[in-house]
Amino acid sequence: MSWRLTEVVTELSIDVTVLRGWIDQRWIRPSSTEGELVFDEADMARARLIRELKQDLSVGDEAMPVVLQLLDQVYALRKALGDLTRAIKACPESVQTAIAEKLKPN
Amino acid sequence: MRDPYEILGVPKSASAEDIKQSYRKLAKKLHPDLNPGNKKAEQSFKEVSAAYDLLSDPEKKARFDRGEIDASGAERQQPFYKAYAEGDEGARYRRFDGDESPFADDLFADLFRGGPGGGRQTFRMRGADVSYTLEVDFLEAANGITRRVTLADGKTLDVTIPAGTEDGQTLRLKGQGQPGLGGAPAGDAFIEIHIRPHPFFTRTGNDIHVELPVSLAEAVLGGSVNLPTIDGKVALKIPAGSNSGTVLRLKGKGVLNQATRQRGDQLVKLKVVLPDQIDPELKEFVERWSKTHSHDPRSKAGFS
Repeated sequence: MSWRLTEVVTELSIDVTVLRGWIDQRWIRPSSTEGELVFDEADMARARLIRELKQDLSVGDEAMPVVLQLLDQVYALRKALGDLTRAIKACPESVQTAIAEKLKPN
Repeated sequence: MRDPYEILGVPKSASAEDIKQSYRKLAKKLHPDLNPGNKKAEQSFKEVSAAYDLLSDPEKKARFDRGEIDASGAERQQPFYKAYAEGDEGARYRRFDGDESPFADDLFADLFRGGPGGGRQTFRMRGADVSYTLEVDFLEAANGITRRVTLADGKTLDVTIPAGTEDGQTLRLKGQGQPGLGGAPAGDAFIEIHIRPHPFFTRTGNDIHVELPVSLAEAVLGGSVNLPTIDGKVALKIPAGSNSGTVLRLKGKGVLNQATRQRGDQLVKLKVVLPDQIDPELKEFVERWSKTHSHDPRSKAGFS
């Protein structure tokens, strides 16, 4: 599913200049098709998250890039960790046991 | 459904501002996108959100307070960002600054850089080589040593200078140069070795040369003297009748040849040294001796 700029503005009840500001600061990076911005589900959910961080959690504009950057890193780490876990699970049991052994705290 | 006042931890008499403050405090702690993988936080956040939806709307709050509606609010239907953050859709946001990777400098480093499916093209370039010079002592180069050096970028590096390293020789440390871009390998560090001279040893190839002062008595009568070598002292036997310029060879006491793994020799050139003060007894003896012995060292050397 995808949305256009005006639809996102309506859906989230925010001002269009506010949304454009978020895009200018690259907090959200929708793709563009034939000169028109196209928001996919991740863009929409991310815009909603930014609105919540601002309105509900009163994260200021200064702190927002820091928060988003840290969040992006957390998700990148979770993804990498997930991939790694799946890769390990696809290994023979002896390898899995060896890795588990290595991870045990001393 | 729990009581919305209880969920937000505020009394029924709480003002709109109190309710908002309390909600913000809880939301900061419980927001699902800030707690990925924590189901309990998500459940609690939904409760808190529903309670706040109800109590932040004056009309709904009034109706709830009057008992006209119960606490069940519409549960949030929109998905949270975390639903996409780890999937393909979130790939373009999910990145590390620069070329950081959770698995730095190992075989996994390339696998996790950028997003999945090659969505992000990274610029790859091998890091630049760097050059340094390092001065070492004569014996350190001859016997080999590990030296800790601090590079220009503050990184410290243990450089192993192998035994038999020659003056001007360049050591190559693979991957210790500038880091590569986009997962490309780092450059190399080249370290040119300069060897400080030694007070009495010199070196030609793998042979060590030393000039050894001996006394008149040691030269004429022979004897045993302590001789320094590059790896400690040895007793050297001076044959009776040795002269200045006599070269004695100590096999295998030179420097290790890096190619053949054989050690060179130490060549000891004797130098007969008279006492600083010629005492009357010696003078008298030489006078007596020279009257009955003729010795012309110059004719043998070709002087006429």
